[in-house]
Amino acid sequence: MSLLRLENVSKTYITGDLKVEALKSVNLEIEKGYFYAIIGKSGSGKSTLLHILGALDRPTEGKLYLEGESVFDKTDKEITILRRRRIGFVFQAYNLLPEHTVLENILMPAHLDGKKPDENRLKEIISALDIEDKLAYYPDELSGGQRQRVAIARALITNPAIILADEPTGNLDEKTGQEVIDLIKQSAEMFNQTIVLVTHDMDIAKQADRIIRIVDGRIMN
Amino acid sequence: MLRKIAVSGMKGRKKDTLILSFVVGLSFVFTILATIFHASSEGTKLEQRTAMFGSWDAAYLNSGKEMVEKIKEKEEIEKLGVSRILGNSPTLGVVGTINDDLKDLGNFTMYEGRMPEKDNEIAIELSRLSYFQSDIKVGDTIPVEIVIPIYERDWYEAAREQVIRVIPEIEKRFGYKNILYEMNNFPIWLREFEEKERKGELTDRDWYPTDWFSYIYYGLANSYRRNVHSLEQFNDTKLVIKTSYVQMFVPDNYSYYRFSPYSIPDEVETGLPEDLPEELPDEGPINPEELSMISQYAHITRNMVVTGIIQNYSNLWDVGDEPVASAFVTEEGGKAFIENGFLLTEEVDVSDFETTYNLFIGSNIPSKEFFNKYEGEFEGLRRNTYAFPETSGSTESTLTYGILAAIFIATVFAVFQIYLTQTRRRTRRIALLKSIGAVNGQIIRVLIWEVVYLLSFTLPISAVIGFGLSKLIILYMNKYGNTVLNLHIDYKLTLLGIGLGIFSVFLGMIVPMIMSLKVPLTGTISTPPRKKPIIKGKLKTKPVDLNMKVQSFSRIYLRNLRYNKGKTLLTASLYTIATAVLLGTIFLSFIFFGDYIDNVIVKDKPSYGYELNHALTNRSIPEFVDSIYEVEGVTRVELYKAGEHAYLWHENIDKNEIYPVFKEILPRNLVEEHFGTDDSDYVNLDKDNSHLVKDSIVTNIYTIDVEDPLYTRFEASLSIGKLDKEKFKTGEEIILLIPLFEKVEGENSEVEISEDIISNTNQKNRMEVLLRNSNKYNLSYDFRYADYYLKDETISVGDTIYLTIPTEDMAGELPTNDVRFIETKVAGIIYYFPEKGIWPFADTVENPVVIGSYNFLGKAYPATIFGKGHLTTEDLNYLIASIYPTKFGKTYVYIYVDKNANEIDVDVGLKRVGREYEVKLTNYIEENNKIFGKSLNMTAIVTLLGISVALITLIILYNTTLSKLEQERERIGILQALGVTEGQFKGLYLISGFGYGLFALIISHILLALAVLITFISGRPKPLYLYPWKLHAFVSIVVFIIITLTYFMPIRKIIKNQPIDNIRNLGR
Repeated sequence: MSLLRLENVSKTYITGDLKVEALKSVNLEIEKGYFYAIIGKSGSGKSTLLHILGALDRPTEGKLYLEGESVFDKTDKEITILRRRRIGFVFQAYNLLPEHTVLENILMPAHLDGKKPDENRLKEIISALDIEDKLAYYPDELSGGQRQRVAIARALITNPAIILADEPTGNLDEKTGQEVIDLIKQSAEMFNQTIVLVTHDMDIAKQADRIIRIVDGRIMN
Repeated sequence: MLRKIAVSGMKGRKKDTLILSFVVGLSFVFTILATIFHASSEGTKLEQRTAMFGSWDAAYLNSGKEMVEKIKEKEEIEKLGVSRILGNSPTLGVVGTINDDLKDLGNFTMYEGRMPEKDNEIAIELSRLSYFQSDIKVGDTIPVEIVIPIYERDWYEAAREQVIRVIPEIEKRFGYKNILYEMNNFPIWLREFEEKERKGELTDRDWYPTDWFSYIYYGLANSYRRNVHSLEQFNDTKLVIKTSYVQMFVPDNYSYYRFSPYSIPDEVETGLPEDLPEELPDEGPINPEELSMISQYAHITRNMVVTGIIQNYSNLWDVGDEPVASAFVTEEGGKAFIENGFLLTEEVDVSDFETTYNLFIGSNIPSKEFFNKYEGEFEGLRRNTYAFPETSGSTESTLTYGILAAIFIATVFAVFQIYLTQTRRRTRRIALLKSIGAVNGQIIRVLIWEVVYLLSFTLPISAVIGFGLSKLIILYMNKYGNTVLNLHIDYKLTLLGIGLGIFSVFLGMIVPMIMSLKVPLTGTISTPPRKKPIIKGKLKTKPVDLNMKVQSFSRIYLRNLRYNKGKTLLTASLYTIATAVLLGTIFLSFIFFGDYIDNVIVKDKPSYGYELNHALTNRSIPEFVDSIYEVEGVTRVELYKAGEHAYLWHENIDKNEIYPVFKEILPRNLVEEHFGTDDSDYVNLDKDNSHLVKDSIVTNIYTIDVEDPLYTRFEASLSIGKLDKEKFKTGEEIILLIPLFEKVEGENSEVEISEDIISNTNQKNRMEVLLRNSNKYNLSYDFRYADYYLKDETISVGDTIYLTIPTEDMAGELPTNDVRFIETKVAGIIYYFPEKGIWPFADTVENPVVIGSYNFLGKAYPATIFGKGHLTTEDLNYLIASIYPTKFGKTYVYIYVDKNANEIDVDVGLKRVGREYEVKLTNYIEENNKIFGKSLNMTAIVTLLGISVALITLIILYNTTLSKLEQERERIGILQALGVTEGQFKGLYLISGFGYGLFALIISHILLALAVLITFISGRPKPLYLYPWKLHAFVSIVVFIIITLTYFMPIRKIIKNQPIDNIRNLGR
């Protein structure tokens, strides 16, 4: 059984008289343990696809199944909790909360669930991401690469089944970007997680197990 | 081009532009409202004053004709009202002429008809109508008789001249000498007489300086008054010259002097014959050489048509004791009396006669300025201080400027805040402009154009709304507020307000403008990195506890509040300002309306009152009351028959704690008005019952008809006890009014009471006034004190009271000194009136008061059963003033009038009833209106201030919250993505709203408490339990809810968005 499944998903944005079909009857299955890369041109709908996969946005039509359960048939609260426990996000703009330390940012998803993460797992993650000495820092005091590591650590902390990353290297230089990708891959392998990554960088896409090409709102292969 | 950029920018930020326009527009609306309201209030007051006191700036009264021309020459004179004083009329009072300028400056209100226009027309002041035997109506022709004194002197002066004339003959005929010397020596004798009288050394002999002086002095009565009349007719003018002389005769026998008013002492009469003639001798022939002229008057009479009745004005104007005309004729009419009448007489030489003039000046400079300039040149010049009083520093003015200042500050703040938000939001646009070559100056011009465009449409719209709203509010206040307010616009003040508003907009945008200039080309305002960690003292080198405590969402949120403490504090401050302003408005309104509430509403003060110096008979009361009800507008009449000065005694009266204190502070000469004394030696008082007087308190007995609604009112007002109507009717039972009291504690309990205070009291209010002013006790019948003041427990329901009343009877020709004893039971006691009081007790706070039935009064004061009987008013007054001060009782009538009734009609109608019954009408309405008008104006201004500031603040808040949330959307989106549920968000924002509300309420109340302390620190504190706590609580709750909702509502919309809609820059 696939981990995530999209069934005839369409997404239309309406702005005034303008109607934009970002996704057109998309069918997609994401299987557990793989590294997927979604590629496509700007405005092709790749980010929209990722947002729907992460239940950050609702499709206009169609359904999303997580391990066989229809996600959008659940209540908003259930979807939020599902997102909290099963999905980890890595954003291009890091989206760390500036008033919290690195450690607090990392622990936030677990804490919001009212849980304390396993200390060994935390140590493992921060050690893997090489941010052990940055835990007391605030995000504003870190470099872009370091911030993205913190964001990855935050995505991994609840041990989600799937990590969704939206152009995580977009704001980083090539070297740091590659390091971040390596880290995501390494973590996913280490914790047996599925990765769906949006990128327009073919070099990064090539490192994925599977590439999903999206053109004008439709998946080509 | 820059203009186009500004306009398109504004259109692009529709929502922001709308909020900004709304705030700016609102500030203009309130500015216009405040200034118009102030101008209307001041303008109406000026109108009312000038309508009542004339619009003349200064007056030069009783002047000669030459002054008319002299004053006319002054360049500041715009109008000169001239009233030539023609003379006095027995019916019309002072008759004078009127010119057109005086008609304008006098602002006379015509009760009926118009001012005179022809030489045979006259307009009469309303008050003079009662001097005519019959009703005078407009159109009637009446004989107008003007009396001009040609010669006047004191009668005694003329008589003395006669005495001097006859002294030689008296001395010659009766052989006495030095009579003239003794007469001249009279002042010395008088001084000695007074000195002896003071020392108590007067003997009968001392009453007359000398035998002959008495004869001569009192013999003046034996003089004759000779009156000579002459009649002349000049066309329609009749002229009668009346001359009075005195002539003294020397009788053959000096015993005629015994016909003088004072009889001659026996010892002086020695040698006088016993057989006195029955009558005085005839006056005899007039010998002009033997006459002394007393007076000569010209009586000029013309028939004139009454063209109008003028509302009373002459007793209102600021003219001091100088006479002003109470009847007006035209200048031609004046000439018909004087030049074509009086001056043509051939009977006497009147070539030196000159009429005087009253000049009323309307200048083109302010009243005070004119007065200051000319008071030196024109001695006796008067300023019209009634119409144009010193107004600087009036509370209304201060409040209006306060409103403008508050609106100014609020607008600056709002514009600043909105522009700041906008600047942050449109950084990209500014960056774009800069990137394509716009220099800072051009950016500033774009911003200035924006403001200009903003003002170009907000100003006209808000001006229309402001003026319209002012008109509506004034209409509403006039219709429902029992006030008369005319719309006035003080353009200078309004323009000043608008100017301030425009300035505030520019001032508010200065800082955001400077920030705009700093926008870097990347399009974000650079924020310096936060160098200081939020958690102080947490060293990064320190090992971090990985097993940290779970951070709940609320902790995360609190951290955010602390992180943005500037914004948090700002928001809390704004909420506090809005709350404090609204609650402050209630407090100020309470202060301003306090007088009206306390003196009119709570005391149920009537509009009019009559006081009759006798108790009406039961039969005549319905007729009297009906005649009052016939006056249109009268809604309620309350009538009491009263008996005054009764000694009241009851068991335990000696334990009453107030009476001895009152007695102690009471001036000795007033003690008998309030207490029975040891000196009260009534004939039928013996040892056994003397305590009924000497240990008593003096009370007044008010009685009511048991079938009158007043009975029900008293019955419903009983604090304890129950009435048995039959027993009350027969007088077996009464109601006792004993006010609540509070003992004043503290340092200032030994305050001396000034003579002024004492002289302004009367028997009824003296106890309350003196105890209050001496800081001993506060007395009240006000229900609001019920839970705080004490009740007199020395007497209770079922107790017997003993009333002892002087009978004021006559035994033959001598007054008796007896008292009448009445016993009755206390059926109920009123310590305080529930809600509305009963007039006049709520006002005078008499202690105690007996309320009984008419029958009861008849028992206590039997004479009251018969009213004034066949006595004339004059005789009754004489008897009351001399030997029967309380025997005939009193009647008090209180009249309530519909607030929409025509005041003049009611006034005239009730005065007519008053004249019919020969009682004076007391008008309370003017006083009530004055208090109400002042309270309402102040409250309206304060409310306007409160609402305007609170509304602007709330708009700022709403905008702040929206913009804050707009900025937080991304953060909210992140938290949504991380798993914060909608419920968690809602709960937290609701709690935060509560928190802000609570904070605002707490701080506002602290501020208010400080204000209360400061306000009350100098004056006598107004008990706060009289404060409208319910309204205060209601407003507090409403404000609390508004604050919570203002904070909570916007978040609901944001969290409804999908997380990705909130994280807008995701993927960019």
